[in-house]
Amino acid sequence: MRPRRTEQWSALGFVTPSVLGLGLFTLFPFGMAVVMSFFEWPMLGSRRFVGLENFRYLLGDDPDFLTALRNTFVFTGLYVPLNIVLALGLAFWINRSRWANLWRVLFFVPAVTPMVANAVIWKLLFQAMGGEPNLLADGRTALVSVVVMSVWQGFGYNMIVFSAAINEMSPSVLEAASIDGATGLRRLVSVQLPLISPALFFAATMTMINALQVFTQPYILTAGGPGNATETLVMNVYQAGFQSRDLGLAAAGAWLLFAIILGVTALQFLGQRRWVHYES
Amino acid sequence: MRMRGSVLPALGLAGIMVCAACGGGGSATAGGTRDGGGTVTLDWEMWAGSEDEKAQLDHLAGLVTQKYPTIKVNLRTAPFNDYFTKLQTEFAAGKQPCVVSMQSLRLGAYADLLEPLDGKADVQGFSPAALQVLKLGGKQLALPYDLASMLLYYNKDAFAKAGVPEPRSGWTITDFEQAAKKLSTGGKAGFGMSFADLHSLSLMLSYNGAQPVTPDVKLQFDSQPMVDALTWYAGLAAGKAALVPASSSDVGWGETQFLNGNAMMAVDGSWNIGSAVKDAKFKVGFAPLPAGPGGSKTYLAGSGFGVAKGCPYPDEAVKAVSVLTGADAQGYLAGQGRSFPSRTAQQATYEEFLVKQDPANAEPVRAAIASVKEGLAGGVPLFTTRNWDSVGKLMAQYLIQVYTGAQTPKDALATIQQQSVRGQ
Repeated sequence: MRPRRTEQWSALGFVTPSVLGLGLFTLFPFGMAVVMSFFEWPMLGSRRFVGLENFRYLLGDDPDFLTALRNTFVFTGLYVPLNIVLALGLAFWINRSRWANLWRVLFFVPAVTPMVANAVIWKLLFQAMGGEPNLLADGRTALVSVVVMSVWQGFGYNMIVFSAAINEMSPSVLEAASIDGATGLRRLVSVQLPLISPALFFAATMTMINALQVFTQPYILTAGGPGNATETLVMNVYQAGFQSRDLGLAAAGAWLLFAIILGVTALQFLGQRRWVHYES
Repeated sequence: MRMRGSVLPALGLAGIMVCAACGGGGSATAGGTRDGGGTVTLDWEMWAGSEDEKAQLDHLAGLVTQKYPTIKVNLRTAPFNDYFTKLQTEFAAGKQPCVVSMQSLRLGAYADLLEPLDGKADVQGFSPAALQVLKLGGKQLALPYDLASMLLYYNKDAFAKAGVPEPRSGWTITDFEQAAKKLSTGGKAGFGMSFADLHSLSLMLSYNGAQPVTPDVKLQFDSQPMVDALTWYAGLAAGKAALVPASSSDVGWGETQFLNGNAMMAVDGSWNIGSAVKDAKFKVGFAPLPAGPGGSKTYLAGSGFGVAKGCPYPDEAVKAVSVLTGADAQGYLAGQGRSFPSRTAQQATYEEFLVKQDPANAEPVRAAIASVKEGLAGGVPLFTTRNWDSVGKLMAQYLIQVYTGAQTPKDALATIQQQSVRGQ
């Protein structure tokens, strides 16, 4: 059926503000970043087209980029599972506790306080713990220390998501399962986790994306050091853009990061068919 | 129909992108305007951390109009930590102010953007060192309003308790090492280490004259004197005489640990004399940096005001800068205790301010000012490369590995040199 002409005009009227906003503040910068990544684009001074040189430099000559890539993957590999397991465990425990709401608030507090404040407090904690060298100054423990702080900061959000999903589990399904004799681990793995699998999928995807973009915690706690032990991809982009003032290089780094996140997220979406169950 | 529905917004998007692109490319004349009556209003960008500081700066701006009624100065401020980010963004967007506040350590990055002032402004009355630190490649890029040298801050109470003679002029590196060892007891350390440029490099300079940057502004972190100096400096940690920073993000480590009473000596700049005397819960003493074979040496730093290239009213801007750094402005700032003045005649006013602020500590303050003056005599400007921000970051990341013993001085310095040579 053909919509009437007046309807088309009103549709256009409704869609224009958001298209303008999206275009101006998302798509235009997005496109600019692509263009910039092919230029030598100093913040001060004149720019020059260099083709793929920025990408070649990052993947070939940049002494930090590949290390930053490795650190980011190590961080993500540790942070995401720890975060999910902790959040899930506490969510199940809290739902049986008498003071469920109190625990929810308490565990959610780190997630709503500013990250910078949390990181500064943790830095003081690490300093107070002493040790020679300090955990943050030792290349073997610095990244793990950043992970620990990040998990503390981040699990509260996922816990709330899981907690809500657990509350929503269909009582009739649970009851049927218990009549069939499913208890303990069996009940958890075969009944409860599949029931909350959409929440798990959401949490895993978002946490992964956030983890790949980690910046504030290492920036405050360790400034990328000692050596480049805690340098992450976003720090590398920041360094290229605001310390080396090389916006082209920063844009190229940001694009590589974007490609990685897109790839990982796509894999997760492909994989979800196997384990995520939506109620039909 | 569906086709057309998606084509319209797409066209709109393309339009936006084109418009935004042309908007960004335009070059508006930035930094100043002239009204119908002939009065020129100049933008002045400066860092300020409080309303008090802003009021001081507004007073300076008023002095310009007082002397030149047809020139007005419009002050814009940002906190120091954001100032240079803001400034470089403004330059990138062509929105830079006419009057630019500049710190000597950042001069390398902005040298091409500032109008040389040689022959345009009167430089009588400035301390030669203050002018020197704002020169790069032989050009005077800004006129100074303050000047700083590095000093040895020490805990007088701790020295008395340990029975160690206090540092004074002529104190040597050996005296310093011995004192640091004796003062390291009961979980406290004799010295608070640093990887910040002025704080760490000044002591290395005094140790053997090692310099990381050549006079023609090329990096030489991997030179032999630097390796020797860093080996000695890191040795203070290995000998348990010094506190190693807890992480690469602890830029102000030494001076903070000193004020907290955890380290009995630290290197810090002359800009903190007043606050250290006021905030410390112990008696603070000041001395020139311990002397190596070449005598006591320190790097000097300073801040001043320059004129941006492309400012539409350069003559007026030079006049404004001259008033902002003039004798009246300097006298006013010294009386407010802002910082050590760049003009020789006003330096006594600053000393009197510090003494009046805390009469009980008159003696250490006078010693501090004497040490600053001695520092100026043996002072060397720290010239910085275009990429000094990155160099500072690398120093934080790699020097700490030397202090903890995870890397040799030679390797760490080679890494810093290799990674920063590209952007110098």
